[in-house]
Amino acid sequence: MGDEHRSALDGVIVGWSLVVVVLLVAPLLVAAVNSLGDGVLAVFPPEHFSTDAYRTIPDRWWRTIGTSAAVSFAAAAIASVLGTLAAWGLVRGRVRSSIRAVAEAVLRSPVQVPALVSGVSFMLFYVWLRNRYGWNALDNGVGLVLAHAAYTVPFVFAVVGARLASFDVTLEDAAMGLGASRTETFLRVTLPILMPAILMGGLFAFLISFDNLPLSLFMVNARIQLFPIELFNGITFEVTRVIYAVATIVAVATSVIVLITFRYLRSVLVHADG
Amino acid sequence: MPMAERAAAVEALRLTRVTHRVGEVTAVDDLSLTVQDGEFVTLLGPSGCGKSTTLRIIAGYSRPQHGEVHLRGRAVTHLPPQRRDIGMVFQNYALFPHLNVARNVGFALTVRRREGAAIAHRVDEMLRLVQLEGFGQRMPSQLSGGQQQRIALARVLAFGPELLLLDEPLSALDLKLREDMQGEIKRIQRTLGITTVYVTHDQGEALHLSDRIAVMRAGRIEQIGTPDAIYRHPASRFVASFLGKMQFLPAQVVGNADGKHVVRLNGHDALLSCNASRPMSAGERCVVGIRPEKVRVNEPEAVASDKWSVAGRIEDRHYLGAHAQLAVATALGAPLIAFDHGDRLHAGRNVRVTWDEADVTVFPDDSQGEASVPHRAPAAHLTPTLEAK
Repeated sequence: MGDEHRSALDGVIVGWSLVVVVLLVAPLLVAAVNSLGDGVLAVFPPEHFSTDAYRTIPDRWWRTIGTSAAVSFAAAAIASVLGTLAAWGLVRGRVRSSIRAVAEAVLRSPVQVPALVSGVSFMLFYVWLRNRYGWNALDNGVGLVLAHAAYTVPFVFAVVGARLASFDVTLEDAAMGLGASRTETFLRVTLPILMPAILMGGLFAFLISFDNLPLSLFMVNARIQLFPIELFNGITFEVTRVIYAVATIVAVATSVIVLITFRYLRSVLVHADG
Repeated sequence: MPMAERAAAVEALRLTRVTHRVGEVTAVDDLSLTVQDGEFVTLLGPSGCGKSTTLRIIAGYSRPQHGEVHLRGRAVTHLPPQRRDIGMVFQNYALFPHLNVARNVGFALTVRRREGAAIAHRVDEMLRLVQLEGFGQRMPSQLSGGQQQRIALARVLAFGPELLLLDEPLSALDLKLREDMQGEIKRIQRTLGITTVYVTHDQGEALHLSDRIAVMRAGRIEQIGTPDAIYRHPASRFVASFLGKMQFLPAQVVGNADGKHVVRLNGHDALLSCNASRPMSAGERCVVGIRPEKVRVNEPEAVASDKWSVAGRIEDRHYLGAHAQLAVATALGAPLIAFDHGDRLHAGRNVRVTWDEADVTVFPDDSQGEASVPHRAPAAHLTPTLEAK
């Protein structure tokens, strides 16, 4: 290949990269830029810059972010346990292939059903529970947490299942040969090696839950308000710079969490894969 | 261990008529084996012969459908691996990737709830034994293959097992390192005097390391004995070709007396009187097995000094460093493989070939069971490409 061909190819690659940046990354920055504008109404691009929006964020935003984080954290924790157990059962258990296929389909179904439909179904189920047995899962937020957990189990299942499938069982044989009981083998060898995958699955579960609007739409009430719904309502009814400021803060915070987790995972995985 | 117990020949391990089926396959077939205290026994055989399964049965990872396993007279057939006090080194080392070297080596003591200082002391002692002092803080992924192997050894020796099992421990290492580690394993085994069962498909390792070798095939022990005895008096064609190299010449039994069989080689008039792997009667077709290093290649004039000889012509000469490998065409069948430690025997030369009757073994021609291993023509498995097996 001649040099002129190479430079032509380089040009195409650089040009394509620019298209990707402009179309995919730049729009993400609009919110951040807009949050730094002057004046109450968010006109893009802002004419003057100021940090006023960040100093006037009303308390209700912090409350909804806190509620969302709590719901998503609880849901992710439950999903991590259930997803790991499900993966364990299907990878390690002696399961007939037909049953395995059904179980995997069920475990993936929350992803396959549109979230809005799932949300309606969960809501109707909880209403039925309330009317039939008097347990109100909608008012106390338990229903919301369970719905989010069910919705995110497949993500944990996928990540942990993949790790388990490539897990070297001779490590467990070795531990037992060295005198460790089955429980000890699990706690000292299997679980620590699976932990990065469980954490990764849990992080996915948290992020997907935190961001999810349609699933929660019918289950929030006056006492329990979630961040994505508040954000959606805010943008629909009053487009202020405050909303962009809040969105920017959440985006930065989640990015930091993701970066820290990945950095930790990389330090662990470098050794585990050796 | 008390000296008195040491002195008497104590039976460290006994397998009694062990049979293990996996689905339709009989991996271990009515196998019995006794290993004395301090002995180094190798299970040698091709892949799929049941040697690794036998090891897993001894360690307690597989439970045989039939038969008994005894450790120092204690029945352990139904005990899980945790309660056998056996140290097993796996083919891939199976070091715990999330624990550093010190925690790997100390693992058995940690789960036995020993106190920290005692564990640290023992870990240091073990690292010294395998000559990796100061490696305690490294992670397994930071070690070379040979170092990982040593740590795996240190880890199982740390709790003072009654029996050491090694499952193809050197197969992942390159040739040079493999030779070094053989010496290392032998040194450590002698230092500790620990009873060892070693599994390999590498005849060189088996010959170098073992007090006794059990050649396995299709779930059974085909022959067991000292390396020397098995090499010199193979009980079957399979053993003969698996341990060392042997070529087979078609012949016919003329008669047998006093344990010796008199045979006539096809294409030659001379009668040879030799040992046979099993009794055969006159008229039976047979093969005469001879190892390449026992074939003597002489100048064509040197006829008189030998009891018998056959004329031949050197077809081919391969230089192999320490010696050259010759292929000599004779009237006896496929070209004979012989070694030349000098440099006079060039391709194209006419020679006379002979050997001592004591150096050959007669096998039945049908060589029962040969069908289950890939059939190899006598000359084919002696081709130079297989030399570095």
